[in-house]
Amino acid sequence: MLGIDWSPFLITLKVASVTTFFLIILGTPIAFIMAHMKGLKKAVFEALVALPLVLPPTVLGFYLLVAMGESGPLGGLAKSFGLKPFTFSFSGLVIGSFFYSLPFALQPLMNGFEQLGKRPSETASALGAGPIDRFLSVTLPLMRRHYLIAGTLSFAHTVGEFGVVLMIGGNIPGVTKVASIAIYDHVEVLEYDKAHILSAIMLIFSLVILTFVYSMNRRTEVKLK
Amino acid sequence: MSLQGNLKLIRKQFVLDTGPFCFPSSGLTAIFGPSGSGKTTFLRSLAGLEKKVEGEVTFFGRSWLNQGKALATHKRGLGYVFQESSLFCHLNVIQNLNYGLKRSKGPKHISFDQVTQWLRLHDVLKRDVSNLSGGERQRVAIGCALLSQPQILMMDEPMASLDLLSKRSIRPYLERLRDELKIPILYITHSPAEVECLADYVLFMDKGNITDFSTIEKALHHEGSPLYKDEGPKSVLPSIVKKHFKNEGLSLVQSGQAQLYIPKVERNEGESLRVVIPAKNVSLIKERPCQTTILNYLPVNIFSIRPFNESCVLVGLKIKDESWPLMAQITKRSMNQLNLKEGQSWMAAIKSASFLD
Repeated sequence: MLGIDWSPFLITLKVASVTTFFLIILGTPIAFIMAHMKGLKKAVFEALVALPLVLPPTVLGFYLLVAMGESGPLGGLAKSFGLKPFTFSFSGLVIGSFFYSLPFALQPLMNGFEQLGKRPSETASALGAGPIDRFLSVTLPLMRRHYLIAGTLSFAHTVGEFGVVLMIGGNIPGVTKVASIAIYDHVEVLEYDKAHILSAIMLIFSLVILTFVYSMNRRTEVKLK
Repeated sequence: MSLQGNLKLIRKQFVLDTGPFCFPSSGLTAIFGPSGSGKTTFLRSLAGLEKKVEGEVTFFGRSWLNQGKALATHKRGLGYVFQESSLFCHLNVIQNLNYGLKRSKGPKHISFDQVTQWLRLHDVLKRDVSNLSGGERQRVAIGCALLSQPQILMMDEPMASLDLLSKRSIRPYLERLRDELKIPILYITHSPAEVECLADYVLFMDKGNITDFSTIEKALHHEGSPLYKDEGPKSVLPSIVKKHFKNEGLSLVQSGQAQLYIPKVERNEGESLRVVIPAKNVSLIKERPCQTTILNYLPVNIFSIRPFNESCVLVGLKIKDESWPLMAQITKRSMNQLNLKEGQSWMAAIKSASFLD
């Protein structure tokens, strides 16, 4: 259609979905622990998590590239499990996106845990509910909006990434070439019409998602950075 | 004795060190003490809601805490009512009530119908949790705790966050629970009035320590009892509503063989309540005068005379067929002039008696 290669879009959606999945699963315990931290310790962890917000994506991408390299910790881990290196692969993209979007998953979840407090969980335990039961029957339903916001923002932010992907994923068509990079490529070879179409789609997509998040936001009074 | 052990919890600003304690296996024990005396921390530690608690707790022979090994709260089989009602706002009233019921193991001693009847929840069952008044929320929270089929019920100032009207409306339900439930109830309060009308036993706390444990009868007359700090000694008589005199604004209640007129109470005939009589409102006379404005004269026997302050003694009086004593604050001068002695029969004239409010 229109002579455009749509595979970058599919890869973008795939990366964003998988990343969001892991962010929610792993973000829950991290957010829970951080919500119950106090003082300097909490500030340090909050700063660590917020780093991707202020660092140039190339810096994050560079460190991840080094970490995923054969002599890096992540690369070594992959090697010891007999896996291919993460660099220039789909899993590499997911790992990069995970750190890149981590603050967007943690912020709403942490706020949720802080607002919720210990009381609902204590009440449930006094009524005979074990830890997993409590999480599923009380914490999760009471925080469903926070989870929805965390998921949507993580997804949207991952869709919009560029620098990190460029550093660790390269630009392999059909494997690691995502929409944002495809637009860059089109512009480089002066295919402005194709860049226009892809950009417009990204613009509308982001607008819809943000409208959704802010409409949720008003109802839950979650403060997002 | 049901729940026993000792607990220690060290915090930056506060140390809880109970020493050995032992709760009776039924009846309501009031945990009484000023704010900051550690009542809530003690109860939360008992329930397993506090971390890093040292000591030992056993409940009917089952270990709850032993050498740092704590049984998780949800396995202790207890019911807990928090100070501010903590209903789940994502569930409706019926779902809230069923939350604990569904998770309870073993035989169901307390049924849904029983609880809705005890706490008169029929009217609120269909309502949204967010539309309940403070008193209604707290009644539902008590219902939730009861339906989880607890072996022991712990309540942390369940009326503290309620206004006076809600307090008045919820107290009869608590009295009823105390009388109907066969399980022990631990009830935190800093209000002497609540102790007087609800407690069977009183555990006194101060500065993180348990300072005393006694039956309510003893606690009420115990010299220097913290219950009296402000109001002076008084007697509490368990009684039954006999009759109302609507035109005169009075109710007649019976306590042992004695009948008393008190200001009209909003209770049905046959219901039980506790009447409070300040010791300074009780006088002794030899015979009932034929013309008098005082309504209440009770035949009594003197069973004890104890010094009270510089000018007065506290006289313990027994009403026939009533085990709870009536106390009279009498001047030393009158005692000497009338030659009051233990064992004598007198008539107690009561200037005013009130229902606890």
